[in-house]
Formats: sequence, structure tokens, C-alpha cells
Amino acid sequence: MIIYFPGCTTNQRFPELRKRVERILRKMEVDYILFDEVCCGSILRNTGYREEFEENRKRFLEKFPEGDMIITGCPGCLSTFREEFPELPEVKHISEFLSEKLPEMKEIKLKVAYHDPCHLGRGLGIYDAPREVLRKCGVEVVEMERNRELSWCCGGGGGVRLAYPELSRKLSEIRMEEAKKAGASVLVTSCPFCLRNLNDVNSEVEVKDLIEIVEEALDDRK
Amino acid sequence: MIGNELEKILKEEDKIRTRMKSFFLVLQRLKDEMSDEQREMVEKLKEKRKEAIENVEELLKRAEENFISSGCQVFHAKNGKEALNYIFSEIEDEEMVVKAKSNVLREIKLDEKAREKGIEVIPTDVGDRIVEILNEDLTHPTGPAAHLSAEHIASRLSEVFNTKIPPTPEAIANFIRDDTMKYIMKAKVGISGANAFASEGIISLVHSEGNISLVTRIPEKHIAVLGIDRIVRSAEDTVTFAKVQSLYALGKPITAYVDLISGPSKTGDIEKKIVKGMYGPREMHVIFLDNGRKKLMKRFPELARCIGCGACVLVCPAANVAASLFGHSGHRSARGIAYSYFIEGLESAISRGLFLCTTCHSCSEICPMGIELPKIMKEIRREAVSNNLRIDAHERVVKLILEEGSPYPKKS
Repeated sequence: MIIYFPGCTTNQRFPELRKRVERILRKMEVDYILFDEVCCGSILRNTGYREEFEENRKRFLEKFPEGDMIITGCPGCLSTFREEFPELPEVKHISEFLSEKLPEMKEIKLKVAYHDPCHLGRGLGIYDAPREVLRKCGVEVVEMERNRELSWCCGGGGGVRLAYPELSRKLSEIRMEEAKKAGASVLVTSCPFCLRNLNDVNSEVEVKDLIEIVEEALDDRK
Repeated sequence: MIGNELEKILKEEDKIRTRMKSFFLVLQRLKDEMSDEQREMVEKLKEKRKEAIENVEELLKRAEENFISSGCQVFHAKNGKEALNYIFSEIEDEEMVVKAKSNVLREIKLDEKAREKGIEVIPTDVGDRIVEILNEDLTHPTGPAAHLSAEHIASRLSEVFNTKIPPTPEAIANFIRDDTMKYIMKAKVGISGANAFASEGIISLVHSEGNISLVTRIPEKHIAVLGIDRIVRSAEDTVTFAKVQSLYALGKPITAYVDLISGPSKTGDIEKKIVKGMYGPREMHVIFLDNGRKKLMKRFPELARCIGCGACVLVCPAANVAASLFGHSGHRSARGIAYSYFIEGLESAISRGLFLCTTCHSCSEICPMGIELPKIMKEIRREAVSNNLRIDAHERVVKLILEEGSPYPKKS
């Protein structure tokens, strides 16, 4: 059985995104259960609350259901699971899961840039899977000047959005300018923190999660 | 405190853009320059650095013996204050000294403390001198003025010197050289840091302008301040060190100059008797500066491998944008936060931007020595939290996670 863990930010700030993932899973006839009762503790870990993290970890493990594989769309949760929860089954990012399972779809006329979320790219080395998903979705992917290992942080991580929102905001504005410069009409990311931070910027470039592109492409197929 | 300063800095749009552009240019050069051969060299140095830090006590002892036997005077400074007191006693009654650009000299606040004593310290590096004359903050260890445009520099310099300097890099550089040379020729004391030093009793100084050769040759006294973590075993290692540093600091395989110095200038040509101070200094003083480094080497030995290339600064979003707010006066970016922690303590690490780091891993990705700074930031944050030095906004979210199982209030 597959466990889908949306993560708190997706669950509570982007409930529509969670629903999209669930619709895609059903459409692909994937048997899954959803778990969203306890936070993974990623924020505790990044801001220095180690004791609190351990406390939360215990509670998380008490409640977490049995399963064979976890999938999540949140790179923060993903790296926390991979680095701090050795007792859990294999954890995959939704882009890794979809890059293998998705069919090839027909080309659509859409130019997107892909923003590598820090914890997914540099953190876990997942650069190709989301790009492969976009390719299968038939969209044209353009690269921004700073991409992959040199990708520019959206400013949403490490507790900076909470502690120094003005810095966080500036970093996201810079990223949106780079997307525009690359000639993209949509900036696609694969992290709810990036989505939230980049979305706050007023720009003619639209910001979307990878999942939105996937669902639109799947719908288009019919 | 950071809040107000940050607001001001974020408004300096031109400086942010110029800095970002300069930094990115170096990153592109580095990418173009990188080859398998270079990668192999970097790996080799990483091993050498690891080995040197593991055996630091033994190597320091040998370095001291070797410096002394080639005629240097060696002094151990526990902190910046001890180093400064020694330097001031050696400057004696001089009112002006010249210096090479050095992070360690910034760290101990040489210029500021000397000024309080009525001693003028003239920086000889072009970027450093510009930043000093214009009273600006430095932006990168090897490119202090990387956030200032030629137009801005020329117009401000013209004001200060009451002359007309054309806004081209050439004209500015020529002007700075002619002015700085007057001081170099007059100075009795030249002060430098060291990019690295070998247990064989040799310091290395890496530069492109040629200024450091003059600072360490023309005055009669050369004082070198060595951060004790910059030790390597052999002179050959200091050359590899210089090459890797140049690659990651400038995107170039080597700087124009790498000076290796082991003692004062001397001749034995007359009756085989040693006469000191021939064409170079008569005296060379070597200061071994601890200033928290022994603690640092124990707690984070991998951090002590740092070669100070500043590549972590080039890629750091906080350093690109928040610039001088993020890091220590001598050491920029997350690495500087870690140094602050050991030099000045936890509260200083926080006021210098411990919580400005987005943990984006750009620094650890590029670091030639494989230092995982985000991990170190999290460790220091952990100490801040357990010492009750916390951020209010974080406290609120932590409470929510523990009480409601999510960082966001359930009913919103």
C-alpha cells in the first residue's frame, strides 16, 4: 500500500493541490491511503528546535500507518523522512513517482521554466525527475540562468519567511525576474514553500506546481 | 536590530544588482575553467587540509621552530586584542603603516583600532582602498568593491580628492595606484595576513595586483598575522592551496603572484656574514592568531578546512542581497556566522545573521572543501534555541506544531 503524505503546507495552504494529487493517483489507478495527522517536523529541524523535533518524531511514528512506500510533494518532508526517519518505508517525491509512471503525452504549446527547490535539488540531488515529468506532459522547458546546482533560492526556507519576511520577499522577486528573462509564461516548481513564496510576487509569469501541469496534461488527453 | 538595517539594505537596488552580476560572472568563469584535472587537484587539497587539521598541534610546533630558525620573531595571540597589542608595540611611533588585503586583519579590526591610537592603516588592494576611502562595506573577500559601479566610484573619489576622475575602471585603478604608491614607499611597517602557511615555516600570499609583494618587501618591518587554521604541511601544499583558492575566488587557474616568504631579507655575500634587510625587510614578525580557532577546530573540524576562497559568498542568496548584514566583518556569509560564534559567542552569531540563512545548500554544493555549512548553521541554531535565544515568529510556529500537529492553525 502507498501512503500519500501531502505535508502541512500543501494540506492547509494549498488544499486544491492535495486534491489534484489524489485525482491523479485515482486516475492512474494507484491504491493509496492519505496521512496528514502529524507534521514531519522539518521546520523544527531547520530552526534549531532539536528536542522538540525528537518529541514530535515520536508522536509521528506512533500515528503513522503501515505501508510499503510513501510519496509526498513536499521536499521539506521528503528530506526529513530520508534523513531522520530510517524506520519508515521508501519515500519518493511525487516527481520521482510520476516520472516513471506517467505516459508520454502530446505536445502542448506552453513554455515553462522549472525552479529547482533547494531541498529537492541540492538537498537530495533530484533535478531530472521533475524535468522528465514536464517533458512527458509535452510542455517546452526553458532553463533560467541559474538552474540545477546553481538554482536561486526562493527565500521560503530555513525559517527566513517567518523571521525576516522582507528578505524572503526580495529573494522571490529576483527569482520571478529570472523566469521572465528566460521567456517562460509559467514558472513551475515542485515544492509548496516555493509555490507560496513565488506566488506572493506580482508578476506576469504565472507560478504553478508541477502537479497542476500534470493534471492539465492528463485532462487534455481525453 | 537586523530588521531595520535589512530594510535599508534592501532599498539599495543598484548595489544589489551590481553585486549579483559581479558574483555571477565569477561563477560562470569557474564553470568554464573547471576540468577533471582541476577536480582532482581540489580533492587532493581536501585530503591535505583534513590531515593538517587533524595534526594541527604538531604542525604548529614545527612551523614555529622553522620560522624562528630562519630569523623570524614568533608571537602567539589568544585573541584579537593580544595580536593588536603586539602589532602596536612593533609599529612604535609610526603614524602610518600599509597593509595587504586580509580577512584576518579585518577580523581583528586592525584599521579601526589603529585609528583610535592615531595610526593610519593604508589598504593597498584597489578594491579595499576604494571601500576604505568611500567608507563602504566590503562585499566579498576577494572583491570588496564588487557592489559599486565605476561611475559611482569615480564620482565619489572625485569628490573626496577634489579632482576629476573619469568613470572607467582604468582611470580609477591608475588614480588609486599613484596615490597608494606614495604611502607604500614611505611606510616603515607593512602588515599582511597569509593565505596559508606551511609547517616548514613558509607563508603564502596570493594576489594579482602586485601590491602584497611591495607591502612585504619595501617597509623595513613585515608583520604577518596567521590564522592558525590555515596551516598545511609543505610549501607545495601552499601552492595547491593558492591554485584552488584562485579558482574558486576568481574563476582563474592562478593569480599573477604567489609569494612564498620564510624570513627577513638578508645577504651573506660579504665575508659570509649575514646582513639583514638587504632589499627587503630587516625584520619579519609572525603572529599565530587563535581567536576562537582552537575551539572551532575541535567542534567543527571540517569547517577548519576552509581555504577562504569565498565561493560560498558568491552563491549565497542572503550574502548576495543582505550583504554585510550576513557574516562577520572579516568573514562573509554562513561561514562568517560560524566564525562569529567562536570569536565572539552565540549572541554575536545571531546579530550577524544566524537566522538569515535559508538553508538552501548553495554554499555546501559549491564548497571545494566539502564543508556542509547549512548543517553547521542548524547546529548553532540548536545552541541558540537551547540557550533561549529564540526568534518570536519561530516560537509561535513551534508551539502550533507541538500542540496541533501542524505549523498552521487548524481553523484558518
